Amino acid sequence: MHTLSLKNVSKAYGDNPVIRDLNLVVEAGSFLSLLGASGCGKTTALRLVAGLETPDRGVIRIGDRTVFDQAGSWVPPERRRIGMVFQSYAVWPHMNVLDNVAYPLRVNGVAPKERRAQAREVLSLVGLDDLEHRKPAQLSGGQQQRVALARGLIMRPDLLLLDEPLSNLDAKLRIRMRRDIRRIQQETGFTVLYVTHDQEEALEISDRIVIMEAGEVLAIGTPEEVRRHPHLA
Amino acid sequence: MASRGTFWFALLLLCVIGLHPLLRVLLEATEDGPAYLETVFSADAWWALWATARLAGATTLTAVIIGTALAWLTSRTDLRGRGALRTVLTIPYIVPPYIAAVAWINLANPQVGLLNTWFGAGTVNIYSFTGLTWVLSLSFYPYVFLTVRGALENADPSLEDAAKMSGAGTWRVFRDVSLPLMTPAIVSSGGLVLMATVSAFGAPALLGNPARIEVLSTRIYESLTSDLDGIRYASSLATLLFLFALVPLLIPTTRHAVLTGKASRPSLVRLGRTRGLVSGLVGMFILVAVLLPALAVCLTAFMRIAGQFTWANLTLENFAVLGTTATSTAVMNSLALGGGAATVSVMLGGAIAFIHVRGKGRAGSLLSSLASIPLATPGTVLGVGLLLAWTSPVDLRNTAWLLLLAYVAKYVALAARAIGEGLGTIDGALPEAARMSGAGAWFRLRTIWIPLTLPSIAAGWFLVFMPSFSELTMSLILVGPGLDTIGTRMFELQEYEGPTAASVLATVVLGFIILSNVCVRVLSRGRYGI
Repeated sequence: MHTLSLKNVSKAYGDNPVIRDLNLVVEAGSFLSLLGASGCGKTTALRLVAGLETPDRGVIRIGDRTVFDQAGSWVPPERRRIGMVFQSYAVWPHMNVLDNVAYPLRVNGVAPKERRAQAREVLSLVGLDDLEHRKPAQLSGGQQQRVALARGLIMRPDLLLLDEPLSNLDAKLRIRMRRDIRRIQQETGFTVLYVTHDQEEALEISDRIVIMEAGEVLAIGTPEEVRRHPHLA
Repeated sequence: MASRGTFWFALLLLCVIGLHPLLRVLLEATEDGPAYLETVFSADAWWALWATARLAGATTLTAVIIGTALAWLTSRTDLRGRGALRTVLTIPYIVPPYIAAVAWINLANPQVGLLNTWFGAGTVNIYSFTGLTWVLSLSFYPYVFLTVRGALENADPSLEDAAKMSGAGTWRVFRDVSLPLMTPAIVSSGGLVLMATVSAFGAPALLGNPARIEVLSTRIYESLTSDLDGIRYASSLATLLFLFALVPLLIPTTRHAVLTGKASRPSLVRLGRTRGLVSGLVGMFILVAVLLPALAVCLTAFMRIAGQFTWANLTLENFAVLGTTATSTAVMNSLALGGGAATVSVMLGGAIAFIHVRGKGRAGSLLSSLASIPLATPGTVLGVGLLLAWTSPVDLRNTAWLLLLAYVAKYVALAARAIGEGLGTIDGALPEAARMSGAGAWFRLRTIWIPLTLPSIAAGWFLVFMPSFSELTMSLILVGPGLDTIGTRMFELQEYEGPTAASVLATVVLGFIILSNVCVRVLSRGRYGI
């Protein structure tokens, strides 16, 4: 479990600034949501942390590791030890559920037997016990979502990033999933950075909420504080 | 970034195998300025240029009319059997024109052609300007057919419906709306036909020589083989071929912004009383353009004496030619070279496609454009260039390596295009998810990219294999003794031994092409192949 910190991080596409001097700390083991309308830069911020985009300026640290600074140190995403759940799930269509979930272990050279055992464990954590041999095409949206979550969790990463993971689900499933995500986070104690445009979702799931607008932080607070100042969101 | 090294490597390779030979043609031609001018302004050059221009004009016009009419009929009218027609009408697309020429010689040789033995000697003569135009038009009209049909299918049919509601009859709707919608497609595909015609070598050689028709491509080949100083003369003529590449650029085109749109189902034009007549005409066209030539090749392969269709004249003896060393070696050479070229092209083309589709930058589109230059270059020109480029310091003349280089240079763009389309359909989050799982570049390539694009890679492989396997022009220019390919062997048989043996080889080529096409079709789920 590690603290994530961003210091004066900026990113522009051409002349168009998307992130301006972003300062952010996610305490170890806490759950922080980036909340904002589409185009506010929240997904870009997440991708900067992941390493899928590179900042123009600033420093990003995970625990005691500096993964980016202006001086030129940059850790590629595959070595940041971050779990990530994508908005489109990104479940590989050519692998079955078990292979999808066990993939990060395979990359790290874990023996097949051990991989399967760990994958089953994490599949049962997300509530997908009996589907390990299914192909993604045979799964519902909610099930694919759980596969993506299991894959993000299996390495016991320093940090888990979730990019609007529930936006493609129907309302009822959304509520169930977000409770499950919160439960799993509290059981395992991961540090989580969560991106959403849904205020209700952010209020229920987070320890702290960062409200973003036009690439800048508008407000930071606990769900209680945000509830007391509804004009912020 | 790992891809930077790949970019420079691909760029270097493309320049060495594809662009350097073309540059060498220009340098060779213009090294002696006065001599160059004397050559290109000679009567010989101008006759060849004039014949080429006439042939290109006539073929393009014929192909455009046939292709456009068929495209409109099969996508906008209630013509019978439209679905099946689309496939059948595309068949000539995959048959090399020189095979079509062999077929039409069997049909319309003035003495022993099947049509002339049926309808009386001298009814039709394929060894003529008209005959050559006819064969090339039938080979190239699918370019127009496919492009224009694509444009019509993407065009919003409500545009035509609106014209109908305004009171326009079928003809007015066609003239005022459909035709303008088709125009950009007609012009661009017409340009393709033009370039294909001036590039064609096999058909003009087989059909034009007896009729004393000499176009630039056949003159280039002839001067290479007959003159001692032929390569400079050939290079000078080759620069004239480049002129034709400029023609499509001179025609102004208007792009219609309305071409895209949520296509609803087009309401079909009712042909009414003429439906039977038009369907019959299209059926006749298929009979003449597709079925008869195919039949002529297959039948002739079984004939003792070409042109006489009687039971007594049928035999299996011709197939003994496949057992001769010269022919079986040629078939094996073509299989090996086609397979080799396809494999190399898939690797190089895959790298180009990856940089183009995934790199987003200008570097990728630069590579793609460079790769398609040799594809658009006439085979005779590229052949002469390769001969010039690989004499010194590395001498590859009379080796299979030179043929391999030639095929890769010319067809790598086909593989790049197929793989690029496959890569384009992959959700970017899939490899990113692998990256977040800790997978490095090679591991991602092996476990994510390649498995997901495998169908496109395989389709690309066959798309290169097919034309390489049956390639004739460059092979004739580049091969030495003992290194025949199936194309050069067939050319020899047709020229020096007669049509029955050549037809056996043509049947074999057709078989392989149909087989490969089925593979492409299945692998690409119908996106490529017919």
